[in-house]
Amino acid sequence: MTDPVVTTVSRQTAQFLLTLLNQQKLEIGAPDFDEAVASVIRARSELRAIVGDD
Amino acid sequence: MAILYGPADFEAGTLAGFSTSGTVSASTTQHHGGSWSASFAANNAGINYIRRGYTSVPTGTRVFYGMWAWIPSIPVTNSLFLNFLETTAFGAAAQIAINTSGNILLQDSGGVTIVTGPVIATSTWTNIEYSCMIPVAGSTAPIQLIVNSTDYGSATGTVGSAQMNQSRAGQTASFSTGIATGYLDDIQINDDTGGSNNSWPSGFSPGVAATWAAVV
Repeated sequence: MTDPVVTTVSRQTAQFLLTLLNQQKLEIGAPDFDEAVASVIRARSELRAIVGDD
Repeated sequence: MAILYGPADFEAGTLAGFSTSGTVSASTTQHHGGSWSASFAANNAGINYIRRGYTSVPTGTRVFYGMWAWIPSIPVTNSLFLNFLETTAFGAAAQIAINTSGNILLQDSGGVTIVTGPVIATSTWTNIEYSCMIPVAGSTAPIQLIVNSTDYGSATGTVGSAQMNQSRAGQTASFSTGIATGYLDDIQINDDTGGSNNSWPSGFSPGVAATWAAVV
């Protein structure tokens, strides 16, 4: 995996972050709106992989 | 309204009508019908896509997205997030991804895989269609996947409550996929209103799976 958004977090932490992301309570830093949307998709995918229901 | 936009065949040799991000262009290297398609770089960690807006679709109205896609190989390092229907809340109502096993996945707004489609054939054109509706109440509704006129079914996912008003296609997430250039052609979006073009752009029939009956 290249340049991951998420590196080493526990499954529990990943689930917590995923919940916040899906509730739009977690913002992903990005240089512009389009990058932000793309980064959210990526972060969600990586978190789901850690949670184990990818 | 019936056709929200399309068919976008790129035969003018341009990406006119689309906004773009990253490395995308009109191309004659591959084409599904005619001589032109839209190419996008898929081998980097950036985003490379074409986007087209349309009038916000009322809640309770089904949207049918259809496109032809060509990729040279199966993603190696990460999934290729190929397409999504964007909403006024600036997120995806539903999206199409191709994972590192090559399966075409239909996912909901939370990135949960709702329908698993077939392994995409490489270096050839594949017709990918999916249907989504923002419900009148609540935030869940069925989404359905059709690939090459085969129904891979529908199931309920979280699609949110914001109206759909645009779509992106190409490399829509900033992942390195480990594949090279991909191509898109003959993109069309219909809704379920009007007397024609009110179902799957390919003409696939029947258009309504059992799980839709309760909400349509």
